[in-house]
Amino acid sequence: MAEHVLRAMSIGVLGWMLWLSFDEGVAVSNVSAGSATIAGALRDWTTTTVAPPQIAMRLDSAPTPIERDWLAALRGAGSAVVWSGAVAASGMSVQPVLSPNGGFTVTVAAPDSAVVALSDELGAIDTVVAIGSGARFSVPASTGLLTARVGGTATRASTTDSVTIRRLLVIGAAGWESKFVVAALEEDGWKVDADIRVAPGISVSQGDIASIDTARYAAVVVLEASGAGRASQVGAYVRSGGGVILAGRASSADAFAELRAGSLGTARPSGDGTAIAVGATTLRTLAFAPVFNLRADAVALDRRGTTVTAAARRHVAGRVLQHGYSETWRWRMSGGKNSVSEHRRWWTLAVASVAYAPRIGLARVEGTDAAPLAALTAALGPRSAVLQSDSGEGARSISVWWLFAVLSVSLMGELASRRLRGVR
Amino acid sequence: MSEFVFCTGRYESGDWDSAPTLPANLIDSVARYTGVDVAPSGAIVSLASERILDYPLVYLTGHLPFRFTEAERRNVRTLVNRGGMLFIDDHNHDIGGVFHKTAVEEISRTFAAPRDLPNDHILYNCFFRFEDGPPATSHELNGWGDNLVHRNLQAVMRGSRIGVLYSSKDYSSEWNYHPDNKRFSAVDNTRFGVNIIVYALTR
Repeated sequence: MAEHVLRAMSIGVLGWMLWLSFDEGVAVSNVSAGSATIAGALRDWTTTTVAPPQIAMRLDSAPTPIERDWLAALRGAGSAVVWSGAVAASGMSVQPVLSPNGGFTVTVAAPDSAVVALSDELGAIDTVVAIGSGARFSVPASTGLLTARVGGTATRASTTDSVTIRRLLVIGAAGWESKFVVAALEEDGWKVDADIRVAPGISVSQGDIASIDTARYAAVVVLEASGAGRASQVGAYVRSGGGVILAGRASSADAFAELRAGSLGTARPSGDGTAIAVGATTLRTLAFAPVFNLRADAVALDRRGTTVTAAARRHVAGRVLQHGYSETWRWRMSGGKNSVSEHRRWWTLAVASVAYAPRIGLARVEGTDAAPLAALTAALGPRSAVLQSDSGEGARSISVWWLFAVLSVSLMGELASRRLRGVR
Repeated sequence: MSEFVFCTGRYESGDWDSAPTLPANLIDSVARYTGVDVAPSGAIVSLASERILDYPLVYLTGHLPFRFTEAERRNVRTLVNRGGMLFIDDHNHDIGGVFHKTAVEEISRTFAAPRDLPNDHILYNCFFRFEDGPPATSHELNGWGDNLVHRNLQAVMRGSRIGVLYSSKDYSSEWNYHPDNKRFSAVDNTRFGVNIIVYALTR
């Protein structure tokens, strides 16, 4: 009797295992995968005849856009897709620099102290540690998509605009500051018109300065109170969207009171008042006049200690940058060996920060993924705190082993029983 | 804003101080004709000192053989490369003279060989207008020195601007007098000096 029971059990188990082998494509259990196994898992889950009822993802990096869309498709097909894990909240923006030299400013949002590695299709560009809420890169040129890796998460973006760079107008008085500001901007590729007052009623002009409007100028740099004669034109230009930099005496001229970000104080001597050694002059050692009494809508852009040296504000449609430096030429002439390029760069960035530059939209580049975590949340919902630990594959595997054990025991039991009876 | 300080460069070789009243005369002219903030006194700075970089226009003159020391050469090269300008005038007015020969050699060694500056260059009309290029000096017209009226100044260019302006016309003699004596002239002969300064300050 026992032998019959064991034989029946063996046949039953064999039948069960046979059924399981035929039922390979049918998943009735919940499934899960991690970042490393997601590609293969997606393939398996999709080739089963019945979709898993729940898919649980444990992620340590954001899935690629294809994987994310694939998961969204499974979700749309009826599987409940949930995910958990520490996916870095990263995002990337690529903006063209408003400079004739081109280039991009790449801003990457990343957790504090995270390592951010930037690359393009040709290879690595730079690696930095994020401070605060991210990192910023100045990229002179790049090919195709830029990729920022934060942990295992890749963020991909490209610029969506190109900018139209127009001329600059410098209004100043005959002196070293006017000369070297024009020189620095021209050396950096800007086309510069200049109106340099030499004597009352006499100016040295460069270019055609018939009208000051956004159709001709990206920005106007006013270095001297002599520009007051053009204050009404400059004001109209800013209101229509143009950018202006007020520096030197122009920064305190009443004619520009409507535009400026604050009042200009008394000039302070360079450095700590002691003579600056030649070769040691930098922006930080230059004499400057503090910008104080900032307007409510003004933003301090640069400080020396607690004193504001540069501030900016919007004026109607345009932008105004006011700074208290009137002798930046000393930085160029008496600074270190890179002072010429540093002075040039500083002025270009100052101009770029206010410049009016019409943008032209570029064709969308395929493969961008500028905010992977946000896209993941949009596709699959927010991160889940609790995941089902059940795994259909694991359960199937364990059940097969148990069946095999039961089969072995029942066969061995039947064989032993027959031998004990003396039957072969 | 810093005022313009007329700088005379002191160099080891030769007689750098051979036109001692010229700076005051040009400073007077700049103050008289222009609105440029100009310091009432000039500065004398050694070319061997890096302080020379605080003066983007440097005037050099002399009669004697002209050579830069290594430190002087390094500093004037830096000055010109950063956008400054040297104005070198042959106080001999003699292209066979030692100053001219050695100065041109030294300019060529330090920068590049100077070339004739076209007489329609902006230098000649950036403030006063000189239709025929550089004004002749009384020394040229009186047949002193090499008995030539030099038609052109020479220059070493840095891009589109003048880095080194070289004159064989002896403006150092022409302008080397007390500013009060301008009242005896029908036409102020320092006006071209004003152009050189205005050019340096605006280009």
